Amino acid sequence: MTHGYIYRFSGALESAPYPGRPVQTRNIMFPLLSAKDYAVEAAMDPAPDTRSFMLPTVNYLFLSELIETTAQIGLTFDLILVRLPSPNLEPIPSTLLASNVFLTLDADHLLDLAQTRGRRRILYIGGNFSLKYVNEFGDNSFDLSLFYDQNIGDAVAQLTTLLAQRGINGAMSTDHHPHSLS
Amino acid sequence: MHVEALLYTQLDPLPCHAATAPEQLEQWLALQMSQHTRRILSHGGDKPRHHFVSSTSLANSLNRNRMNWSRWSRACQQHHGIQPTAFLNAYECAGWGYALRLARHLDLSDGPLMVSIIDINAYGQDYWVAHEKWGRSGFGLCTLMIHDTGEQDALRIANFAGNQAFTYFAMDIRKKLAADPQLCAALPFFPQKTQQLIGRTLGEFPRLTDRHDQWGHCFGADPWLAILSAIKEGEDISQYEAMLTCSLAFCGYYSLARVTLARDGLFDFLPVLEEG
Repeated sequence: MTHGYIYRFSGALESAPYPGRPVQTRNIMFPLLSAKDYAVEAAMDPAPDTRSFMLPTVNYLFLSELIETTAQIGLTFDLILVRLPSPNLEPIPSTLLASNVFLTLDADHLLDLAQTRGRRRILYIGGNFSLKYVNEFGDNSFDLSLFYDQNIGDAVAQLTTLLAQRGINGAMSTDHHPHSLS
Repeated sequence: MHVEALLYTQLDPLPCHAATAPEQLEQWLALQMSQHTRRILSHGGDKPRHHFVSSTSLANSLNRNRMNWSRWSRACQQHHGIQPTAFLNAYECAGWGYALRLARHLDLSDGPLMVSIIDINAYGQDYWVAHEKWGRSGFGLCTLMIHDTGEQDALRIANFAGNQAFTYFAMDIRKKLAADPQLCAALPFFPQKTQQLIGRTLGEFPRLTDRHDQWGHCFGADPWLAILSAIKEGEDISQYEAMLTCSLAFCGYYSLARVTLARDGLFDFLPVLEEG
């Protein structure tokens, strides 16, 4: 009989994740090429009020750091689902292109599917950030879910600390499912 | 990898009403997708259990919340009863390969998989009309019904940053073709200069006609459109045992797949389906 723990973090990015740290970026609004493109864009919905703390490269840096940290603290995942809607003009780092990582716009069905297929260790990273220069109009909300077949409370606490260091504040909750993860 | 169905509908230009409101556009796209799904289902065989949707050019519409994927995927379900499993955008033209890789990772090969590659220029932006890297763009909906038959080296996913990606991509294709004389490459459609570059690496190894002049660069759909065009226009592909479908993303990720084509498969161009 499979025991399972589900850890869910829900919070929001409230400040720049790496203050003072220079990052490389292409200073171009994607996908705007011509004056006409800017005019088309300007005629559409106004930008939301949400403040943007991230460039695409910072988002990639943060997502990579988060995944690499889970490995450093001893967690292994069958599948890592990352909400990442872009493309933009910045190449995705290799950590996010690993064979157990899948980048998608909406992971709900995949989470169910992976569990149905017997995957017991799944990480879901659901950042909905406002990103500069790619017109990604998220609300800076951030969700993290860890499905695990063991109690990993101590490791999860370390992740919560990392999130706080990166300007993401929120709360973690735990569910223990003694019989099944799904 | 065994292709049981391959359908393509050109979605260029878009009907005026398609771009008026996001909800209308989602409904219209779901209608076009449902036409493909219905044709595939009526052709017989196993019903696809999973449906991945990949796009390059729809990023802007979805990122800015003009279009809503949940609403769009529900519309698909209402039209033809299958709700897409996931939408992927980040891998650009190489997305179909990453979907196939995930399907392998989750052991989904016990049934056929449907993959749709959809690209439109929803707001008529110049960026998507033509680009210095890929020339004129082409837009449409391509749907594959594919069965993963389990050969380990049938799928190759790789990524190289910077200008090296194109070189590694071409060399990888050459290596695959050199190792398998029964294989013919189906390449992305590129402008003539880029075709010449890749031609220098591939030399005399077989490849399907580059149809950039006819279709433009149709993002991840190119290799599949090359196969479909070859079949419909009588290009002799019967001498090959399999095709090597190849897609390269702007940021250097690429997908290669060795695919066989079902003799009794469904391979067709479909017109735009009008509402009503």
